[in-house]
Amino acid sequence: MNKWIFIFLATMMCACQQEVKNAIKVDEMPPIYPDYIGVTIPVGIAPLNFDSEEEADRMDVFVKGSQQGELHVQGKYAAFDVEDWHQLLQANQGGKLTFSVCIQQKGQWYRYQDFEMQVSSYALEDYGLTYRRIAPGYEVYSHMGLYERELATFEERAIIENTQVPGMCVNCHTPNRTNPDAFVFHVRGSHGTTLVQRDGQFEVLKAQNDSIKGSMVYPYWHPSGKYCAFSTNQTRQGFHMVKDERIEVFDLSSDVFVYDVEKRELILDSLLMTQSHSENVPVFSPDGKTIYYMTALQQSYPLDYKKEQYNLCRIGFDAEKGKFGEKVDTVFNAVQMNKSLTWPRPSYDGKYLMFNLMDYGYFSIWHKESDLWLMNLETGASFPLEAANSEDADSYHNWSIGSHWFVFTSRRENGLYSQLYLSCIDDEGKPTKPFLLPQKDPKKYYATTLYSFNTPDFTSRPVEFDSRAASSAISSDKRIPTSIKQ
Amino acid sequence: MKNILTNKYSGIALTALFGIVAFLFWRVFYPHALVYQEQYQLFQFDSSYILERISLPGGVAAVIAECLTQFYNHPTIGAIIQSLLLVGIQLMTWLLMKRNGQQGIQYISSFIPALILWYVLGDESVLTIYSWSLLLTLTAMLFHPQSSKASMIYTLIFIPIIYWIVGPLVLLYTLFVTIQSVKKKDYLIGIGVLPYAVSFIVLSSQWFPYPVHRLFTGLFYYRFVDIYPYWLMAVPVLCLLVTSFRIHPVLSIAPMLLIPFGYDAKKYELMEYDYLIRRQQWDAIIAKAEKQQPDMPMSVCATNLALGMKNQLGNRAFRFYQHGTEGLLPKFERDFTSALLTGEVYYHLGLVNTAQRHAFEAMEAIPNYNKSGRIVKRLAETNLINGQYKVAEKYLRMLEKTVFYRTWAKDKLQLIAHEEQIDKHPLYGRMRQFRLQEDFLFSDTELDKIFGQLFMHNPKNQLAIQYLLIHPLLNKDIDSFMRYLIAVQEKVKYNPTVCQEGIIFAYTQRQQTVPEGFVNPTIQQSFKRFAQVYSQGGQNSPQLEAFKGTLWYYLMKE
Repeated sequence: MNKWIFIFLATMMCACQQEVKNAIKVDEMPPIYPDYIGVTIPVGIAPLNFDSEEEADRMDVFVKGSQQGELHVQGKYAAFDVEDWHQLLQANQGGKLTFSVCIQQKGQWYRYQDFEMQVSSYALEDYGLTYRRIAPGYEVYSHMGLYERELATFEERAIIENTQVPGMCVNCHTPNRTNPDAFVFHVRGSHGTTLVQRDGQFEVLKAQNDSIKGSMVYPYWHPSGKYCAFSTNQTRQGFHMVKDERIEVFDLSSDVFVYDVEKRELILDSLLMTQSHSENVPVFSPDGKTIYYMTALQQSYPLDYKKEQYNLCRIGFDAEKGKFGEKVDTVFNAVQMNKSLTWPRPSYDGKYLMFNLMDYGYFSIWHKESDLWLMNLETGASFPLEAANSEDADSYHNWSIGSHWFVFTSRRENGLYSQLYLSCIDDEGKPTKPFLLPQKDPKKYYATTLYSFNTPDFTSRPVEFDSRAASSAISSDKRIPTSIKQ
Repeated sequence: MKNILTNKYSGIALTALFGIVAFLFWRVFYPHALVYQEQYQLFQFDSSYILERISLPGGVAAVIAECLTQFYNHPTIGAIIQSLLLVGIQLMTWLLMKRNGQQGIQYISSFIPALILWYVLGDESVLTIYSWSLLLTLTAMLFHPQSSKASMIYTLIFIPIIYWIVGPLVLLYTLFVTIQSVKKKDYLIGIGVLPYAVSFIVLSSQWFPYPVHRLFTGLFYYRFVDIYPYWLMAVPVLCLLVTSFRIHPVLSIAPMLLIPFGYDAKKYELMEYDYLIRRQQWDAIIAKAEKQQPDMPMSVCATNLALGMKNQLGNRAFRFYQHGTEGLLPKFERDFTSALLTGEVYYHLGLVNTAQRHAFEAMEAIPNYNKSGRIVKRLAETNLINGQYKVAEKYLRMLEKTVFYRTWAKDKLQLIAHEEQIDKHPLYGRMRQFRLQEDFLFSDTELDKIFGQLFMHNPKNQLAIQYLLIHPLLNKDIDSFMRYLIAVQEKVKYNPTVCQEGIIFAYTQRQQTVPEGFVNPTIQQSFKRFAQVYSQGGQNSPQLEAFKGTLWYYLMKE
């Protein structure tokens, strides 16, 4: 019986497909959206469906693996079956896929040059991505939330949305090295708090401690999960008057501290809370013994906002005693280059540190010149990730647990709406051409969405979070106070 | 009266009269209220848009209502739809009453829910979805079968469906079934139906990312998500009472009398100013202000903009009530109505980025997370002017999926990446010439300096000149006014009445003689009289009233 159903379905599908007849050969790469030509992809990624850039009647795509297997699809756009796609990638790990594309426009078929995708030999071990979706606005926010996306499929699930707590703005969902057993995010608005979840239990902390100037802002977990480093920022925005610029974000002041999650204590140190400098965006090294952070000479804002330039520094951290080291080293002197460094992110294997470099400031999504750079922590050499960078803002990156893949946001498509790209670093630190996060119908999806994707990170498993209970807790007035470690 | 209403046609006539009055009410007196409803939504013929809505309880009614509300952009069609909706609710109420054995004079009572709804709609945040949901619920009630067995099956099957279609107004249907069943001593359905419906609403909170109380109060009925006017329940409660019990027809008079109180004059005045600004009817704004002095920052701001656009601000600014510099450009508020209006001023001044920011913020501030056709249009325009073509295209493609903005969007899509065409465009080209080339960060405490920058950059920017010179006067800062005036007069010939009044005031303050040719003799004479009256009677002299409408009066008296 099943056989007959299969034959019937196969016949129906064949009947729906057209034969590519009298195709005119075009000596160019196919004009496809997204631009997946020459990208490198991991095994296990969702199908890289694509469409014709221009209006088209149909597409006919034949994919052949360098090692084995092939796929053939025809339709309004190239939509691959998830299972077939995964099998093809699995069979061609370390090899390549060759795509033969024909596009039908106004009844006429055009056959373009074949293009290739490399199937990386480096695995992307993580289950998915987490990110925030929000309109790229100024001060007011409409519908927004934190979401989780499975990398192998197109499934997206809300972790929490502001429909659950009206007026809430959620930000910076940060797991511990992609492990969702421990994560933290910050809530702004009248229900402001820092929500910390560990081993399935969450607590909502008082948004501000009187001993620090602001709330707990940019977090990063200690590998032990006992601590989380934060900055506390007095953030302000300015609005540009000329056509190619929109927003400037600067901090009237900022400091760095570490939060002891078990004792609910803030560990402060005068070296990280100077009057003369703004210390910001702390991150732990993979061994937990060092904190990297950025620091800029305090300026007079908003007048001298263009003079705000950050260097990368480091300080020791003793997890046993919960104490900072006694000296600060400058790791990367961006100011000397008349540049500003932001978002340091060490790879989990301890080899590299990725950061953004831009002309000034630290809020890179509003800086078109913002590029991704990589520092080899063994040699100290730093270089731009040219293959991954674009003419527009490339920013806010995070590593996958295996430290070969990274995700970042880019505004390369239209200059305003941030999208997520994934790229791979080989053993020499060379990046591959990044690919846009796949969607089932990518052209329609990205054309119609009014959201930016930001603060992406990998998650090794689906995030288990009782958003209903968390919403009630956030809506209530109850907050757990924090204290200062003496 | 009784005899009249037993006549078959008298009911039809009464309903027709009701419809005509409702139509005239919306079309003649409140067209701006209809356009207001349209401008805070953007119905798109797009599967994602429709799916997003119909996946939520009440989403089907939302799609139907939003689809029809887009026609409110055209006030005549909007008024027809709005009046038919009210008529529909009245007729449904009557059919339900009739089914329950009511007749004759009771026909008058069938108007009660529709009249109360009319009153309720005076709150501009009550969405048309609410009215459509009510109509659909009444329809479902009408089709509810009479026999017990059929009633039980119908209830079991249709309660979840009705909940999906109209949202929590399913409770009206549920209570109607309860009353009908109890009347027929069918206690099983009577007792069971309400918990059945409530459990669906409670259970649905497990799937939808909304707090339970939001699912009980409706996701689509009211614009504000964190406020719910519980008196909205009055309409379904009255529907229930009127359809289930005999209500004395005299009681219909009460909601009729109530209607005028539902429409706050001040609120609707602002709405009308906004409507006229959107349509750039500058003369109509001035005429409106002449008829009744605007006295709120937003209406003063609209009047000043209209005067500026007609190049009359320098002559007539103080003939209207002024509200300091806040009446010229109100401070940014995280509010969808004020940000939209203020953004219009920035746009016409040529501050394209600031106009874009206000438009974006206004859309983000729409409380029910809706998008707005008017705002998306403005965003497309500002991005076109700024050469951000990819972003402009994104917005234009959205508008292409609508009824009213499609033609406009298609036309503007032709401009994408055609620099020359945009430069030659009468509006966008002018904006490009006006917009600033040197960067700095916007500051609303230094607006006069920004107006100055606009003028220095392009002395043809008439609105900037007027705002630059009025701003210090509204601040009662004569020294700055004189400085700006000198700078302006070095580049262009501009010396309207208000400036002359300022010049003579400044020179008199400095005890200097006004150079010849700067102030015309009539103004000089007038000022002499003003000075005399002021020196004799002081600030409280009743004779000063004769100088109302002059700068001097504003400076010394207000």
